[in-house]
Amino acid sequence: MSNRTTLISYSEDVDVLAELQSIATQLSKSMNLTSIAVTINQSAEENEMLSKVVKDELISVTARNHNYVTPELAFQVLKRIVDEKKPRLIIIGSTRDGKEVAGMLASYLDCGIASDCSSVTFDSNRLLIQRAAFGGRVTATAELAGESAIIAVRPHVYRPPEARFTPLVKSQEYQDIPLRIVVENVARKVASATDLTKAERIVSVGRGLKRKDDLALIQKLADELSAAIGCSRPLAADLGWLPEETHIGLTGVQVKPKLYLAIGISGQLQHLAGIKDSELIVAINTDKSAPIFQNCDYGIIGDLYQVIPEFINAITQLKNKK
Amino acid sequence: MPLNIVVLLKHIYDENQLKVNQSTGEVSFQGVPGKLSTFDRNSLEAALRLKQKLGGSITTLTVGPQESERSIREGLAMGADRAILVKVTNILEMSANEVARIIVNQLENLQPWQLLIASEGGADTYTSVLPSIIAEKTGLPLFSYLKSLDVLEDGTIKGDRALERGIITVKGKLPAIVSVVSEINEPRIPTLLQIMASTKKELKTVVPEEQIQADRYFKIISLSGKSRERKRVIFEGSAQEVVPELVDSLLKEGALP
Repeated sequence: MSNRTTLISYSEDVDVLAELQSIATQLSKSMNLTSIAVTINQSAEENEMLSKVVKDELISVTARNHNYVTPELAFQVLKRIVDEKKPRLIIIGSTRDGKEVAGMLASYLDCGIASDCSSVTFDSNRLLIQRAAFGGRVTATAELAGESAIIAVRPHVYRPPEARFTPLVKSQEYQDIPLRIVVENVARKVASATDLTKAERIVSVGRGLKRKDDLALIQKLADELSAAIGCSRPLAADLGWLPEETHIGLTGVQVKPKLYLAIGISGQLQHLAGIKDSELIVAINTDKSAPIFQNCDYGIIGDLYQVIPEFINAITQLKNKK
Repeated sequence: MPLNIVVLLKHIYDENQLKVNQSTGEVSFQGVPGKLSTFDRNSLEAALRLKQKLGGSITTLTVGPQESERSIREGLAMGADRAILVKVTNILEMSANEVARIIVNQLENLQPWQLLIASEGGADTYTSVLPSIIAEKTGLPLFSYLKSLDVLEDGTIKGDRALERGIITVKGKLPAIVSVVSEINEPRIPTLLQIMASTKKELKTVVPEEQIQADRYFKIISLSGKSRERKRVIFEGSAQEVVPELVDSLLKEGALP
């Protein structure tokens, strides 16, 4: 048993930090802990938004002379807060930066750590997590024991809490925390309007697409189906044809639409891990032996360049009939 | 400035060949072949390219069972100069903190080195926290999730971090820890000659200096490979034939708008 009495949550992304508040609130109640959220260099508006969903305390940190919050800076700040608050549990958004901060804190505190968790529960005095392993083929359930623990929770698994709180809001300021990693340039992505995790229908495309221009065809189908567009990792990461936040898979977004249409996607484990909670999976692929056909509800073995125009026609006709 | 680079390699169960009992969800590792963790090829390739540019040497470091030798030989065939295997039998039960402790011990023995390269995560557990734990324990800066990496003659390290929110260009000084994403390069495939020559390269096996205990803090309780059963209705034929069949099925499922 631990006699520590606080729970600290953090993410460099305020929207993710807001989401984390539902699990933080839940666990702080069942584990009898004070729930404290930490922001670093966020605007007054963002802190205001967060202060509505944080249960007990919001610490808004200003680290002077650092425009951009790197994991190195976040670790330096959180280390100071952790030294003071001695948390029983630290919950961090499992983004790439978040996992780095979580790892550093786990080393610093020499405590248990679990990253990319899709669920956290406190049951019969045991802190249990679930996470995917082996390319998403396996779900591991594990216990985190010890005085304190760090859990990095996957973004978009939880929704921000409905409840409204009036936490204690504290401001802290740090001057010139020395850093060794210099940020030379920040190329921020434009946030996309569609949130794939909430989409009812997704049209997703993979390496079967020959040219970037052919995305117009996919877009047309998506429009007809009122669907969002997603893709497999190579299209976003290697080719850059679609934004990174549309990359569906173990290392990207995990989706659960009513209809998932996989076009020219072979269905590697990495990708399947991101779509396994879809209600209906439809695959279109030229390769009969593609693993996607073992993991779909309906499949068409055929050339997307012939099937998709035909499909668009069929849907349009169907709509005209109505 | 010649660079001494350490690359972390992990030998894992091939996740594609894992045996899962579909009705019970039970996972079996029995007879499942091992392989070099997919993304580790990218780390080694990144090291090989830096060595090509600046000279120096590449040592691979592996914590794992005896069978890891197969993956380590692949690394030597790709071009690593020598390899170290820290032999443990229970790697799946060990936490990142414990694996990091073993690695940090070995890193002491490998001095002097200037750069440690790891991948974005193991293709088996994909916890992605090892590089940051090593960074904290060694006190070195971590340049993580790099999709490009360069080291200059004066020991400056530069790279582009690939994050969810964008690309962040960073710069610093060696010595440093680096983790790379798979987009950073296309790993080379060794030739038959290189594979044969790799058997002559040095592979040193050591046992950990510390007594390894099962993790006190992180205990796997169960593994389940259960997945949703799919219908697997496959249509084959001309687009004109199969599309109406698919549309019919989707209408029945109530999946169309």
